Amino acid sequence: MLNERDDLYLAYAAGLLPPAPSLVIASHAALNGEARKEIGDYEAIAGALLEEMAPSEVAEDLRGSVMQKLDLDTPETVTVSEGDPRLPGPLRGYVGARLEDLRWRRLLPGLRDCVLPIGGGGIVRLLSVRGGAKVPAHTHPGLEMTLVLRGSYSDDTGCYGLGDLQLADDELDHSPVPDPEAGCLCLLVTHRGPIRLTGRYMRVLNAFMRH
Amino acid sequence: MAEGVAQNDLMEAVAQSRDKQAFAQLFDHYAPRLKTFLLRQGCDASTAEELVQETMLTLWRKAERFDSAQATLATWVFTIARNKRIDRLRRENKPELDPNEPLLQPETVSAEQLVDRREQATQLQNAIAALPVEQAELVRMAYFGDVVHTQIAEQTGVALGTVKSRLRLAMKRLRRSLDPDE
Repeated sequence: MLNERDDLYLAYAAGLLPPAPSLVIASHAALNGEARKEIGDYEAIAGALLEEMAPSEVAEDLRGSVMQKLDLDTPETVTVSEGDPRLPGPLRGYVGARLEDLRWRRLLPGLRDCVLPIGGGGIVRLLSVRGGAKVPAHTHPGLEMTLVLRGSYSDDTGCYGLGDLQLADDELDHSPVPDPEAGCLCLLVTHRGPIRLTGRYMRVLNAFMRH
Repeated sequence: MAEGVAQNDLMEAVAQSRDKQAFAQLFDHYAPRLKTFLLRQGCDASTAEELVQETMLTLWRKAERFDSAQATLATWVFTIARNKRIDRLRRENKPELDPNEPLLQPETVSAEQLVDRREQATQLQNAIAALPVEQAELVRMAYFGDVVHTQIAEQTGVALGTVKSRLRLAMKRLRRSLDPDE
């Protein structure tokens, strides 16, 4: 396996994953209690590490400038994020529109996608497959993360339903079959090569991710 | 732990009575630590201070959303900073994106997972302290991506596979301290 799940959860929790895979893991966590629990644990550890940090000197006027801004803004009220209520929270805010209103591109009969612009490398897209449509067999030139948002699909490795995340690398050659009735809506992130972590000193963790 | 309790009280004062004095104390505690954390993760100093500033402002504005039953204040502050950093990376590369788009916010834990977070935080701190030194270093490395520690690992001739399995072991121990029943 190119990337192990635990590595991805930990890197996400730590804030070391680039934006595209972060979006997938955050959406996955919103839909999957087990992932949420594990990531929550990793975040708790990050909190403990934050408490033990030696304080750095901050600019003298930093506190003053923050204090000045306190009155400029009224406290934010909890806003209902715009977008499609059928999408998980992190993705809903990001997509911003209802699924029907997105600009879909027809790829094959019953198969369409919509690329979401996101920085930091990797391609993020929504992929919609109608029940009964054929998805051509394919391999991946790197890592592919597939999160099921609606319906389900199955391949040689198993069946994937709502909130399930499949990690596939260049060794997996699969022909996913969508649920014959419901079809499948997925969030897909593809990366050529291993995911590069953010920050300056990431060589080591990147080496981790390759094995 | 007395510190953690005091911080929760300060946070309550911020949430309920918009107490600026309490906020200033929270700022003095978290801003310098958060800056260190971000520097360790490879942020440059000015980006780190901007993120610290944005994070502390969010703490003020969304104070009523903090729930001490779900996370410690340190964890909440950390996740705000983390989401801001990811958000910024996203925008840097795609300036056309709406700057007001909501942050990546993982949803909160379910009701049955609610436990006494303060007690958990103490257990976690104890568990970190109880880790063998090399494992504790590896945990920090995993969060900071700090190459220095690996060089140490390399200098001592520890194979990467071993480093990785030690990290796994350490993370398992820490997670167990959060959830002793498992």
